[in-house]
Amino acid sequence: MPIELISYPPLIPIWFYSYSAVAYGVAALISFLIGIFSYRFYKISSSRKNLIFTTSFLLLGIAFTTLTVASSYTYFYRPYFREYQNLNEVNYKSFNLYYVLSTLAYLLLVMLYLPKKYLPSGFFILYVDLWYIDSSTFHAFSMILIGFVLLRNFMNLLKKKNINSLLVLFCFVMIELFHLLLLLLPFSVTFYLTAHALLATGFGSLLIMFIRVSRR
Amino acid sequence: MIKRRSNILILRDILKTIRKENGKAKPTHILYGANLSYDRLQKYLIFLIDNGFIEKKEEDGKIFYLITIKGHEYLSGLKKMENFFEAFGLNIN
Repeated sequence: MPIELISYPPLIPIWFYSYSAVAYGVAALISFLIGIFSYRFYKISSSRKNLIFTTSFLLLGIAFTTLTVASSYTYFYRPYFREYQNLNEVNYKSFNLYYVLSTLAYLLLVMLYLPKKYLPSGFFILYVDLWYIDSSTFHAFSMILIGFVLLRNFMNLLKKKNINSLLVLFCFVMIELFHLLLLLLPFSVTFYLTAHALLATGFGSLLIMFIRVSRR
Repeated sequence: MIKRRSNILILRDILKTIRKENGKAKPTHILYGANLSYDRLQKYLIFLIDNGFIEKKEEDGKIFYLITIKGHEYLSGLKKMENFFEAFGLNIN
């Protein structure tokens, strides 16, 4: 397959954007919910780890909100775009912002699971700064980061053996598959629909965990 | 190396000790239950009283500390937070 096709995913039908707008909206709402819940704890604990966790989920919330707006805009204002309907400026800028915010959020999550001695201050920020924003690079890099978080959560499940840990692991597996399918988008545009269904399902499992914990 | 307890864990241990004593405990019981020195305990007790988590009562010349509704809510909230972060395999305290 020519490199151009790998680097630039094919244009997807406009109606797909209504579908992704809903999935991103669900992910954004649940990310904010988790972030706010964690912030409440940070106010009493003042723990650095807690702050990193809160920031990570709030960044994810903002990132997914950006995409909700962009996808809705592309869907509802499609008569304004003549050709290359989904290549409008709002969509382009929103995705770039999402790439940066989401990568930063994932890096913060990875930081949480690294021992203190492996936390080179400033390294992550430098990497984001140098990072070349492109859809394929973003999804591949995200898969590595989430893969690590997923592994740590799998180890946690083996240790704890409870439903809540399973739900969190399930969420990270779904996010990993979401990035994988979007990376494979050049092979079939229908992956776009599956990927977003998995994303919403993953965050849904996080919501179930949140409800279970809050009810007790 | 002995890992130091964070302030939040010390406050939790004090409140748990009082709750275990049917919501009303003597300072010596709290001292042993929370494993603190007298001076450090006083500091935390003042904080808990100022924030409405416990109340100081004197009966027959003896001092008791009572856990308040706010104290119970604090403990229950803390438990929820612990369960939440445990699900992620994180020890935030």
